[in-house]
Amino acid sequence: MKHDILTTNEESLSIEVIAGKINSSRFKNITKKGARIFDNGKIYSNSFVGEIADLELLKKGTEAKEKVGVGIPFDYSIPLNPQLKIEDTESMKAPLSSINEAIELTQERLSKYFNDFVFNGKFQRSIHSRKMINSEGMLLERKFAHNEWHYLFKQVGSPNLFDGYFEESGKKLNIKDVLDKCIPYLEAYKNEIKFTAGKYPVIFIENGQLMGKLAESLIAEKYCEGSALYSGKLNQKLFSSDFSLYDVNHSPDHGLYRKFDGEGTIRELSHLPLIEKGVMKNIIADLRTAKKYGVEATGNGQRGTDSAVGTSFNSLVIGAGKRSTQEILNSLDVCVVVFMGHGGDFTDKGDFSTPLHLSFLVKKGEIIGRLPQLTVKTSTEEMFGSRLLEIASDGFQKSNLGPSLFSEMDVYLN
Amino acid sequence: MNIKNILDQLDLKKFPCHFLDVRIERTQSSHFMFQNGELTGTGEKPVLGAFIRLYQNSLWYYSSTTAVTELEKEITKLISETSHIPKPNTYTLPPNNGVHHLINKSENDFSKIPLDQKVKLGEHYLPLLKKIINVKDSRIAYTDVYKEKFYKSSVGTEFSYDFNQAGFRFGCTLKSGEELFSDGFKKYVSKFSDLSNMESEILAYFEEAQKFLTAKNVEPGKYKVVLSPEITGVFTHESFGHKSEADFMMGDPEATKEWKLGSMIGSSCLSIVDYGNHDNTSGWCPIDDEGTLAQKNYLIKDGVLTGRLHSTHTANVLEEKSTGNARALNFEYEPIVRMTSTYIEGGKTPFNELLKRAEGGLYFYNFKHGSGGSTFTIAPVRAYRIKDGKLAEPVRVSVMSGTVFETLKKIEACGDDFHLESSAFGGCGKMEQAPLPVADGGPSILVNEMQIS
Repeated sequence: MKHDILTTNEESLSIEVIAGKINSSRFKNITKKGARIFDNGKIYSNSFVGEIADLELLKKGTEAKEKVGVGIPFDYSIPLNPQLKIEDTESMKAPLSSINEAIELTQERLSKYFNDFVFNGKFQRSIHSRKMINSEGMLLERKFAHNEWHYLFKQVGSPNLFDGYFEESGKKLNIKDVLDKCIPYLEAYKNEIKFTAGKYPVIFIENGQLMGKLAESLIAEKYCEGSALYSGKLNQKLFSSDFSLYDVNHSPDHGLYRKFDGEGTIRELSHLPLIEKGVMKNIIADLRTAKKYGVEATGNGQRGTDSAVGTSFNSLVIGAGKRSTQEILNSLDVCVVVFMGHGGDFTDKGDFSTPLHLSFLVKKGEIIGRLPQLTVKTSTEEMFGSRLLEIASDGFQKSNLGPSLFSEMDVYLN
Repeated sequence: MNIKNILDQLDLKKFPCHFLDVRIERTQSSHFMFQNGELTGTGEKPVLGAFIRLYQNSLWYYSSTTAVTELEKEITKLISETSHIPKPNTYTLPPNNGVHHLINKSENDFSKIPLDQKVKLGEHYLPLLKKIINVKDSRIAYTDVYKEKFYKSSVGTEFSYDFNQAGFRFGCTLKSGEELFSDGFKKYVSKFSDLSNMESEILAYFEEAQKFLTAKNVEPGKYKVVLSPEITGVFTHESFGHKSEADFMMGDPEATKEWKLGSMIGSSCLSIVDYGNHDNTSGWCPIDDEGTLAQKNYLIKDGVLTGRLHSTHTANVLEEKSTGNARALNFEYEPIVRMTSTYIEGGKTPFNELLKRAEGGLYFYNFKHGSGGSTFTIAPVRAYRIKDGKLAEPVRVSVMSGTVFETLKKIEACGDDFHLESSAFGGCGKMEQAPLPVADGGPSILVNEMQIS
């Protein structure tokens, strides 16, 4: 019987800051393992949290297989013995406790705002390792350190859970860049201005949620079953020629090291084009859906130690434009900059709406003030097609993997 | 492994720190998924781990570990990490809440049911896919969990209890021409046998879903709305429940003035409760992860702000009583302030009367997701126009939203059809800890105005 074993480990130090002061430290070092036994056209899985020898895990898996006998049917080829080792030793040089330096840096910059705002957040440094082996000689490994932090800020006396947030993650933190970009908006926070509903250029500083409906169409199962909004549209021009979209699996600066997926498929191409110049070019698939629908496996078979394989993106990233985010903001007569706009959704037709919890009005690059609670309405076709204004060469912060997208949207007062 | 014995043998008082507690969790879960009729995932997941908390020199130190037989060593190691700079211990020790051993759900423990029997349940319902017209894509999923928690603290509190739940979901994307509509029938149970004989319910559910294929988009604007108990629940949870979590007030000296107990903040027909003692719901939490017993907490009573949700830490800081709401996602995390079962209390108005009073408005039946914040949002699945005091044609809506305090005052009536909604899929998310099982609900309610788009 063939088998494979996936082992993950996370060792981390997480420090909680309340009102600018350290409140707690959490230490974690957890190993998880998952084994899959391939037998007679079926996959039998079992998992364990904690330290366990590979042989012991396989023994338990075999016993479970014989006892309950429930396997997932498979009729595709399993990668035999791929070899790849990615170890970012540079990222792991500093001890976990070095995350304390990040706390000090933020406190230096933000302490003068402590009378007006409360800052609560977490700082975490972690070392992640993932290893896949199989009975045929497969050896896939990655190991790297990752840093992340966030502060929720709240104006003193505000009835809200929080009024906004700063966040950053990656191999190295660039706290100066985050605070240089965000503090001017923090300073404008107290100046709430009036707003007239209408059509405005809008930029979300974190634009992942805008991809929702489009992303669904780029997954083989939804696309090929005909149940996605853009089913049947491969190689057709759907959006603006300025719009391209990629699945990115490797970007160490952003903590992305996914050249191999959870099934052992290696993808050397870091940027898989999904949409190029407005034309739908590719869909993503794992081994099962690739075989079932006759498409190429793209290294997107993701799984945990205790979950079955599912098709999902490594990181969806928009193709960069020419001008920087700030240059575009400087050139626009008016723009709504959205810091918090979560909770929105699409209809099955691709219409999108979301409330804007925190947004600012910017005119020719100058922050005019904080906007009241608003709602935006647009659609997938409009955002990336008929009402796409421009895509920047960079993100709002350097830590953003993807660039900023400027699109005209209908903006309402709540 | 006898976990109670492990804790019995652990003398927490001997360690040199202000406060110390240990929580051990043993979890057994299983799941399956059929995608378009094909089994694509199934498995069982055993987890055993412990979380240690200690307070010393004005700081908390936490450690999560799977080495549950070596807790003394783990505690000693954690103590070595503590700051050696003496600082006053501002955390007032919690009371000894006694010894409560409440494990009593093993009779219906889902982990005792063989996995193949669970998968056969899914296979049993597969033929229904051929009876539902316009199916383009389907997902039939099952998940269950049986969890035992064991706890001991240095002040003498001890507890153990178990939690047992399962959920079944039959989801389809329908397509007719170019029109798509996705929806799912779901059921929450505490006994496996309750998942039998659902054929007619599933078929009826998707017969109604067909109507949404031809539904038109709603015109954005403000509408009078009637919310079903399920939507009332998510509205309560997202709009007000999160705001009642006292940890958001930490560090803000003005917060208690802004959130002064006794203030009128909702309409007089409105009472909101959080209570962890609703057995056989996903909000079941008879004792929280700090050993505080569940109690019925009125957050709003007849429109008046009457309470908030606390851990021992937030209760300490705000000089109020802890409420049994310190909960952790699992053994990897520290307890933070969370909801349990949160709901609007039932009223007396019949559903038909609510519809009559919402003429020209919209009725919302179920939802995909919701979120809180200064503006709450709910993304509904099924919505209907209300005409002549009755439900009329379906409409498509992206989200409904509103500012919390305005909306609480716009609740005009509460129905007589109270229902507490549970879910074994998903749960509440707060920062890194998601999804935590919670329940929410209430009656159908009439809201004078909500933003719809």
